[in-house]
Amino acid sequence: MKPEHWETFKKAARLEKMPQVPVALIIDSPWIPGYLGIKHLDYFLNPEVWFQANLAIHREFPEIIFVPSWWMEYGMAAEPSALGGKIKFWQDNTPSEYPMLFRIEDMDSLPEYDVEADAFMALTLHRIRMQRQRILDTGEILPIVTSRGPMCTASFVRGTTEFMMDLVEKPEWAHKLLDLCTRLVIDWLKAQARAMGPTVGGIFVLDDIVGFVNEEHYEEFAHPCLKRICDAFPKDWVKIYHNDANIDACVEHLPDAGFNVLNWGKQTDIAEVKARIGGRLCLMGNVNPLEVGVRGTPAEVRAATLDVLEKSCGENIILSVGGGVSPGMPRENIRAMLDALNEFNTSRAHA
Amino acid sequence: MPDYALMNQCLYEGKAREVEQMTRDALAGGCSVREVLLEGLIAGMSVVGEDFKHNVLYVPEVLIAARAMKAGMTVLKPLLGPGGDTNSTGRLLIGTVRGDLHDIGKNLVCMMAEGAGFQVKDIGVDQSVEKFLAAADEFKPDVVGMSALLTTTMSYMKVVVDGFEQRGKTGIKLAIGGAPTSQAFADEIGADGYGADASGAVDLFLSLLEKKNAPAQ
Repeated sequence: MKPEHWETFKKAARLEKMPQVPVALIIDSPWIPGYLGIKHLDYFLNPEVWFQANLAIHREFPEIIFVPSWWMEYGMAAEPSALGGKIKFWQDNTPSEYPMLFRIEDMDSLPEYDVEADAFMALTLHRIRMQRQRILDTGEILPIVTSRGPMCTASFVRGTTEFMMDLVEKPEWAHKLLDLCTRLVIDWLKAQARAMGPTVGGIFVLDDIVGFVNEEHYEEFAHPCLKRICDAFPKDWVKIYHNDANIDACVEHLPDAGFNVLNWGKQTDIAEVKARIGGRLCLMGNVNPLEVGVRGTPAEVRAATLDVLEKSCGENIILSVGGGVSPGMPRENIRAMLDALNEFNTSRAHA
Repeated sequence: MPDYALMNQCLYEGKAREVEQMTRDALAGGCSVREVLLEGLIAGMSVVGEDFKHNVLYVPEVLIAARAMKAGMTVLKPLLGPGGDTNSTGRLLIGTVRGDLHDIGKNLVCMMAEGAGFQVKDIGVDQSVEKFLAAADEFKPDVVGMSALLTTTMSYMKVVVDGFEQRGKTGIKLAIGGAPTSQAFADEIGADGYGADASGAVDLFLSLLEKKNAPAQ
């Protein structure tokens, strides 16, 4: 992300009036290796492949703000790996997590985590330090630190089905596990910030599992953890939240948790989200990433993009897809999205 | 006459012990297994399914209700099946496809399908076409359900569909589900149908079996 991109993103996040609607996409491993025709294992384990891949994406789409900029990641492996989750790697896919906390009570026996030294967190931090200067030399900066959220991490460690039942049956243990995961997430984000240096001014929290619970459970279990995470960082930092599961039960609470930007899924129309919280959050979305982004024609992408933009009235929006970029989204569809945005911005400028 | 409305409510609220006891009491009172299954358990679970579909209930409540249903089923199961006084709705073989370890959607479908009276064999996550075929040989399902959460693993569903076709298992209905899937994708890979959520999946299974609108026995 160029410094000027970050300034634009921050202005949009703070709900300032923007002369032009910006566009941002999550840059991550489900998408990039396939797009560039490289193997996932090489993307994760060969620093040169990873660097060149990110450079290629940034150079191909200089108008897009990539979030979180250059992302050193192992899919969703880092957070659960620090709490004992088993990680399985695939040749052509992001790694998967096996929950290993078969009895939630066993969390008391887990060794204390160390974000600087444990599993894929340690490797990620080392990669950040290895690549940092090289990234800065390209004129890009590293302004955002990233983590899976506490509900997501707890589910990866415990098993989603089991954790969902814990919320009802063993709430005291669920709280305890969430407390552990929240501390881990905060420490993990801070460790990344230390490794990245003074350009950092934002956090990006991805927690889709929040979308599995009702409002009461959200308020009891998820909200306090998300708020603790936001509160752990300076007030003027940008806080981005991703959840492309169901946001119906939580959406009104997200500004109170401390988030500025919401990246949500295809299920909820932007008109509804805008009506519910459009004045309190910047909406980063939400062209359907799969049915339109991957399977649609450029004409369909254009129509869907203009639909999103028109419903937003061009206010408090960063154009994006609903979630991450789906693997297989063709170049011409990304280009169609950008062309539609240009069309919208031009007609708005002349209006 | 058992208070089936109360039993349905207990199931809805996930009160497993109460549902189990009411099931025993209903049988002891002379009710048929089929009646208890249909009026006490399946009727309760169908409300759970509807409310899940409409965001009245969320995942934890559905799981807890399904566990209460299971508690009732443990009482009825020994009395069901061949030789019992009722038959199951159908036989469902289900698994998450190769490369994908996600199981919450599959687990919900299993529970809802059991709630609708299906005999369910869950072969777990990360399952190859060979595993699906071997399990089908053994279990003799009416429907095979495939689940995937990832856009990168959903393409493996076609491998399974092709595998069943190549083995001549055309009498078995093949259904798919999971966040990235759609009816268009089901059509594209030659599956028999797509369920948008756990309740929709059960509706699909029933419609595939042409039993959905059959009169109650």
